[in-house]
Amino acid sequence: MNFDPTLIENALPSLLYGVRTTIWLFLAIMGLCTPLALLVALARVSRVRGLRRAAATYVNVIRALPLLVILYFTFYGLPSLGVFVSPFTAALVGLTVVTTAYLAEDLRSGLMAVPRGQFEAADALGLPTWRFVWRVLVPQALPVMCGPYFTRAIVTVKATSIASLVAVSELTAQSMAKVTETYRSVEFLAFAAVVYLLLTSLMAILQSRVQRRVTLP
Amino acid sequence: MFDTAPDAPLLEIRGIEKTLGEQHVLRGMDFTVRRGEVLAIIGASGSGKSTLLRCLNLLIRPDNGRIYWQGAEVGWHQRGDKRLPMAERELLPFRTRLGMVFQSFNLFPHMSALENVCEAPMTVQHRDKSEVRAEAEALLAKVRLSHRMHAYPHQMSGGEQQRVAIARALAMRPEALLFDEVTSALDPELKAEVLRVMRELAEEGMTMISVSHEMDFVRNVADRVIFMHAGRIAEQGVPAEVFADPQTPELRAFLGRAGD
Ligand SMILES: Nc1ncnc2c1ncn2[C@@H]1O[C@H](COP(=O)(O)OP(=O)(O)OP(=O)(O)O)[C@@H](O)[C@H]1O
Ligand SMILES: [Mg+2]
Repeated sequence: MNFDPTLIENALPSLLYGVRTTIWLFLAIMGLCTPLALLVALARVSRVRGLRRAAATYVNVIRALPLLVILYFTFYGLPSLGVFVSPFTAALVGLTVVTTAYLAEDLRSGLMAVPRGQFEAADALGLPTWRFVWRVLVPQALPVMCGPYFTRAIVTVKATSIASLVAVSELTAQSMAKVTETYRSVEFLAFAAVVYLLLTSLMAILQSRVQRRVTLP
Repeated sequence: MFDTAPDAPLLEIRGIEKTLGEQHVLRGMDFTVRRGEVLAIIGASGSGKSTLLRCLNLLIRPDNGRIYWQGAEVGWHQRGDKRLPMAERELLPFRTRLGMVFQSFNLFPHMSALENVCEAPMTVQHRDKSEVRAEAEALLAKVRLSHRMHAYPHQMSGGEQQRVAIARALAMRPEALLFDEVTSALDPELKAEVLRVMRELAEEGMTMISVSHEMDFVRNVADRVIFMHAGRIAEQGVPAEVFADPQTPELRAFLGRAGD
């Protein structure tokens, strides 16, 4: 079996378009689901029972459904409900809804690692809820959240490839298009694999950087 | 802020009851605390001392009973013959009148001693930053920690951390302080430096309610002691008299153990 790098060279513009789409999709998902998941995680540890229940229901329902089913719903289901969005947006919505649920669970474990005494001390001092969240709770939860957060980011980099099944021209879709066109698979799949490896490695490097910065004195 | 009566006791507790889980922890507590008084609360483990203290500043809400602050009821609104619980937000002005110090210090670990002390006065009372900082430095000096102002909790001994916690409570300019076994987690030498600060506060006329197993402190500093048993006041009075002549077998047993 021979490996012909010129194939990749010739297909490069199309492949790089896929890389760009993958990166944008990934960044958009993380940008949306990071604040959303933090809110869901905070709701899960809230004193307000209604909030706790609503957040738990969301997380449990989403976790119970296959990712692909949710993506097919946002791609085929939304238009049939009269909501017309681009394939990219449909994939973004579906992946964000799912990633938010999982990430919320990851972040909740960080929040629960903060000792009860911190809640009591803040209450006794009369710190308002949001002030407590930003000044006391989140800074102490960050070191614990950091690892699971980046693990989730790595899972999400790879999960973007599933958007190829709903007509998004991201890395996997563009590579497969070239496979179909040229009847050569190894070159393009290797290209895709290397790019995914680079992106996930980048996350791993970022993790160790961030971990060092957020670790408490 | 409150519809207060100047000659009323600072804090008055009537028939406080609390059930936690399956357990009827407080079964009706009544007492009053006058301004400047030092009240000690003793009792065996599990007798409900911490629960009582948390009810006093409404960190947890009693199921039954009333709490009066300078003559005005706190925690509930009376609407006709209905009693409606106050929202958390409405409790804050009252809660911050009472400072609280915990057995486990509960300092914010990512803030220096000075930041710990400054946090609440700035964000809760919205006081001027430089004024708060000056007062915080003075309070840290008062608890003999001027040299540790910029240290983080993990760099301090337990005794130092607990003194920062006292300074942090004082920074809110409270009218009374609640102490929950604040020396129980400390070695004897470290205990002494915390007890010294508490004794000084008492001498300055600070109203204090202290759950404590330090019998010397209770005997020498407290004006009154309450012995709790099974969620009720079993005995109370002037410490020297109560200790000299315990009326209940429970207190006799408790004093026997404490003397070891
Ligand atoms: N959240 C809770 N749920 C159920 N039971 C609780 C809860 N908190 C405390 N209890 C129980 O209530 C009882 C009284 O607890 P509390 O902490 O007030 O006792 P204490 O007198 O402070 O004891 P200690 O000297 O050990 O601190 C104990 O039996 C305890 O197990
Ligand atoms: Mg206790």
